[in-house]
Amino acid sequence: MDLNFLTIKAARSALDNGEISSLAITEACLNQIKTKDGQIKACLLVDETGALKAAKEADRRLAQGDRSPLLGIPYLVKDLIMTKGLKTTAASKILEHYHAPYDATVISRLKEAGAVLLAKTNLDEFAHGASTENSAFQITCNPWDLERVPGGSSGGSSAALAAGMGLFSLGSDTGGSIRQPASFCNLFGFKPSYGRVSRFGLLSMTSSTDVIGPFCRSSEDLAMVMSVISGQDKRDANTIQDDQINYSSLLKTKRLKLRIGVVSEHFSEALDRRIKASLMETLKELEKAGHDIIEINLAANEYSIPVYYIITPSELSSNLARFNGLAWARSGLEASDLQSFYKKHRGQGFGPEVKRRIMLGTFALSGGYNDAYYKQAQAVREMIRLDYQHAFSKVDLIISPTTPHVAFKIGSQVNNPLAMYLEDTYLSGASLAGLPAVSIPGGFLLESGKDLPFGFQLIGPATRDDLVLQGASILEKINNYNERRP
Amino acid sequence: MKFSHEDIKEIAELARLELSPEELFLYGKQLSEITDYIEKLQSVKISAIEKVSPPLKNVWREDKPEPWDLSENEEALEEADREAGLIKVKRVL
Repeated sequence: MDLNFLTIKAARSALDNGEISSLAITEACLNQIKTKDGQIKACLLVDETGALKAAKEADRRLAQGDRSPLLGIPYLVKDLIMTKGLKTTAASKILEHYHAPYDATVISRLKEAGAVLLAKTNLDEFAHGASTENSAFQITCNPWDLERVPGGSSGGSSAALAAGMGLFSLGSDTGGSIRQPASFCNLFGFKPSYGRVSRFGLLSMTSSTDVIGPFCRSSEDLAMVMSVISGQDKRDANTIQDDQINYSSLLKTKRLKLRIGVVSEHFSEALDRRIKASLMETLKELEKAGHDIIEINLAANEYSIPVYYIITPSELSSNLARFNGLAWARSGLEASDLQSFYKKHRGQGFGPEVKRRIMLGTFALSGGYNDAYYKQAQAVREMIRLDYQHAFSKVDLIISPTTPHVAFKIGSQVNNPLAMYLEDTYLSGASLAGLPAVSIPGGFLLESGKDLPFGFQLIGPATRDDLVLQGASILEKINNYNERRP
Repeated sequence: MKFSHEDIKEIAELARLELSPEELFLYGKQLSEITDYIEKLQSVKISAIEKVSPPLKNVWREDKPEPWDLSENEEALEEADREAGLIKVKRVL
């Protein structure tokens, strides 16, 4: 039994029965990192000492009868999330030596639950990207084809889980950064509703769409992680004020009959015909299983990407203004005066994509352009939100491909920022409207002699994370692609 | 939208970014391409939009001081160049 490829559910059962120890699973994962990560380069930092300590502590708690859902389960986390005492770099030179002075809320919750933190994973610098190629430190490879990207910006977390380096991982999704890597790596990737999971300790990108979410090997695993990391937090005033939800027990609800929406605007020439065919097959299976497939329109969908690429750079240009090299992440640069100091520190510390987006955002918010760009984008955003609300009066969930194609080759899109932005075709809408969404394994297709995975996305109404997880569970019964390994 | 060299320099100034001549040229070109694509938003007619309230409410707490562990403050500021409890910065003027 390959302990590092277990689902959380299977590991939980074995741990609770005393068949295996957390130490054994943790060691198997650490070994996998040692064996495979030289090639895959998913991890920026491995905390072997901390992980072994946490595993032994988990085994001690298990021996005393503690049966918490994530007790003793090893995981990896995107290096955009604060982990006290460990380096937190956002894959940027500007934070190369920065040690987090506190734990993000999700990390505190996972520590309390007894999960075992193994490593910090690679990402596009400050989450700016869709391939993880924008990391200032290293390029991560897709375990399914080492010449291809694992997706982004949470590519380190998706590659690591696909390669068996842990039992779940955490990423963040601002415009698709969990869902797209999940699609490229044959994983379940969940983007919670905006406000479902505390953002305290997540380095901010687009404050109005940022969310933290899990990568897992099954929908039940997603529910188990969500039950621990979600919930209101007084340190994040945007968290939804619901009582703590147990997603695992909600998944056990009686058989649902769903109205599933298919969006006509999604089927353009840009979508790989094989992915389209596979989706059509899946729709037939869903109908056979008793669900209704209903065609819907999202007329404002064509504006999602332009809206996203005004709002995102605008908000991040404001969020990154705090990197001044003074009180923390201090710079030793010499300069004659404060302004020159700022410009040099930021000019040298930020990578090209980050600077490009700061420039775009600064422009969109500047005097004379603010109305035409930022305010106009926010108004169109409301139209998009309304579109979804109307759609959800007719359907329970919306289904779509996650990505228009499979993982692309490393280096093939690096010189074309606009092409990279178009990766988000199916993804930005749910982000702008704050809706819960998931990517689940949808199938494989053959390209350059390799079987490459692609995913299907489900989007649900605002705050209905439970419904999206149920949908994922239903789809999972139709396909079992998640059982494949690279 | 066409960005002149001066436009790009001014934006970099506002963003407090020191850019090389190559970067200034490249970003000017790329920003022009990106804004051309984004321009399609200008044609969208915004009529009276039905407001969709997101599921969030304002969260308040009592405005009263709480005891704080000062070692946390110290940890947060330990990287700063300090003098007399203040953070030293370069000459402003």
